[in-house]
Amino acid sequence: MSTFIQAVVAGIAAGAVYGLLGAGFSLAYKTTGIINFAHGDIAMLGAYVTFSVFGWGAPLFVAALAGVVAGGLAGAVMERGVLRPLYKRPLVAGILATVGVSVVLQSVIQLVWGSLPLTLPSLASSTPWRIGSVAFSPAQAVLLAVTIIVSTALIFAVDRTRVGRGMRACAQDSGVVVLFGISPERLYLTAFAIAGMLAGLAGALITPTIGLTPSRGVSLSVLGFAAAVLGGLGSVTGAIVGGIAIAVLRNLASVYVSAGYADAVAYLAIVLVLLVRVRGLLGDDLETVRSV
Amino acid sequence: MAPEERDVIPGRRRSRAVAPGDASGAVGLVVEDVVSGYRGAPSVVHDMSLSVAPGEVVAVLGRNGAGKTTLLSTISGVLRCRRGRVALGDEQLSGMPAPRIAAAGVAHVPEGRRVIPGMSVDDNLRLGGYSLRSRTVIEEQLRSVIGLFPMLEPWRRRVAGSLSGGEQQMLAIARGLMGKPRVVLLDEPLTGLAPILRAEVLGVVDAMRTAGHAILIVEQNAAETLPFADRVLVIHEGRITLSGSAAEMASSSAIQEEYLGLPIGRTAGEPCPTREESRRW
Ligand SMILES: Nc1ncnc2c1ncn2[C@@H]1O[C@H](COP(=O)(O)OP(=O)(O)O)[C@@H](O)[C@H]1O
Ligand SMILES: [Mg+2]
Repeated sequence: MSTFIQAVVAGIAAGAVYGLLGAGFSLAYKTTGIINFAHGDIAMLGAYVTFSVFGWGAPLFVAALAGVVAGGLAGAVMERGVLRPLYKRPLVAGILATVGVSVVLQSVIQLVWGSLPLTLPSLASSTPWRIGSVAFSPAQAVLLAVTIIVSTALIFAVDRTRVGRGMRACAQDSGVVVLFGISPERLYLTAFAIAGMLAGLAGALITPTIGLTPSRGVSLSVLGFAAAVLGGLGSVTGAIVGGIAIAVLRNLASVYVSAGYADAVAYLAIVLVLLVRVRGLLGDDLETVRSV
Repeated sequence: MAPEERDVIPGRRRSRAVAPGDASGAVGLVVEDVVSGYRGAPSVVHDMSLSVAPGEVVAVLGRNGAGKTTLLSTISGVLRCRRGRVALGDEQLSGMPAPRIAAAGVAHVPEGRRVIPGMSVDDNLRLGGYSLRSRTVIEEQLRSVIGLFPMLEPWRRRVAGSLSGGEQQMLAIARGLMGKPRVVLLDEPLTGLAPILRAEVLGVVDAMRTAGHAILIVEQNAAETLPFADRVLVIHEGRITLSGSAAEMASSSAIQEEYLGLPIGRTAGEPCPTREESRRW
């Protein structure tokens, strides 16, 4: 039983970061309809910038903020420079362009930081507290706390603020919103900048565990995508829940099946969930109807 | 060119189209010699001129495909003016992007209503007030619009997609008023509605006129629209072919037979001419 609890607790902390990745992914998708394959690479860029700023002697949390800003800038530049000219083309052109951005970002990272793996310390100690037989570290607590704060703010922003409402409306009918004084292009830029910041944050939080390598972004994109799809593409809350579900599943699979099968079991579970519920755990009915 | 056509060209007979006493005519909506159409296609609207004063309802009648929607989309900036100009008071609208035109005081209630189906009635209304910017101003305006449309009160938390066509039309008009517009453009607000709801929509139009909005209403349903209009324009193939006061037009056999194909006064109970609801501009 305690193994089970331990796997779940560790899964929740790790999954919080997957959730942040998925949330940014979902926000960009929700507003623009674009599946951003460079999302994980933006996360890696954020992590590398964090690494460098920390290396220059800044406190780690200041360095992480720099990583967040770098991610936001990367998202904004990507939207302005690459995606905007393609909005008049079929959506698939923009989606393919994100694959190109992913490759370019990996090369840039390799050029600037080299291809050898680097390491980043975590924001808090990873010496665990023990509660009974369950271990939980300050580092995990920080992950969880940051995710809870950031995702709550994000959910509030999307749900209740004027700009968040504009984004949701834009996702459903970008043609009509101009009649209310909304500029879809401005919202697309905002969405990509916020998604980039979330990616940068997730990168700075996750790399102390997984290390920094230039090509690592691809697997982060897959994780973010999986979290977003499982939670229901377009739902920020869903992405957080989806991310945590994936991490918990992976941990349980590696404890009860085999570490080598962790990913396979987790993704199989996702497929099963989606077979039963196409729109994902918390997905929006209409969204699915529209895209079918 | 019919002589009446000149009546509505604001540059020449502005005094008639605009509130008296305003020498510059700088209050209502003015459309001058506008030519427009769709990307990569020939012009659909040709040399269109009209004006709408505050507190005035101008009806544009014309058959399916006459260019009514194109005209409204050009005024609201969804389509670019190829020639001519559109102005609201002293402010030139043509050339501005659509969101800025909306913020300048033009509410375009589009064909087919276009409510945001997955959002609540309240959120749809708040969206209409997007250009008001401040949250407190938007909430204040929301209360006052709900006051004008008490029928919306019980649906406020419902998802807009679950409303009936008539309810959605009310919502679309109310949403248009959220931005505190000076000009309201209504594109076929009666289409697809039951007679009782059509009367309700026209009642709302009447109230908006009393409140001082300049209203341009586009319709195929002449019989029901005419009694609510102050002036009427008939357009055919993108040109104004007839214009005059609503009273003149109601008695004109020409528009009854030639342009509308609907004997006036006998169609109140008949269904509106139907058309594909979902078509976008
Ligand atoms: N999106 C579009 N692209 C190209 N042509 C269009 C488009 N929408 C309408 N048209 C054409 O413009 C003309 C006028 O259409 P429209 O303004 O919608 O007429 P109405 O609103 O009076 O029924 C028609 O000939 C129609 O085929
Ligand atoms: Mg039309």
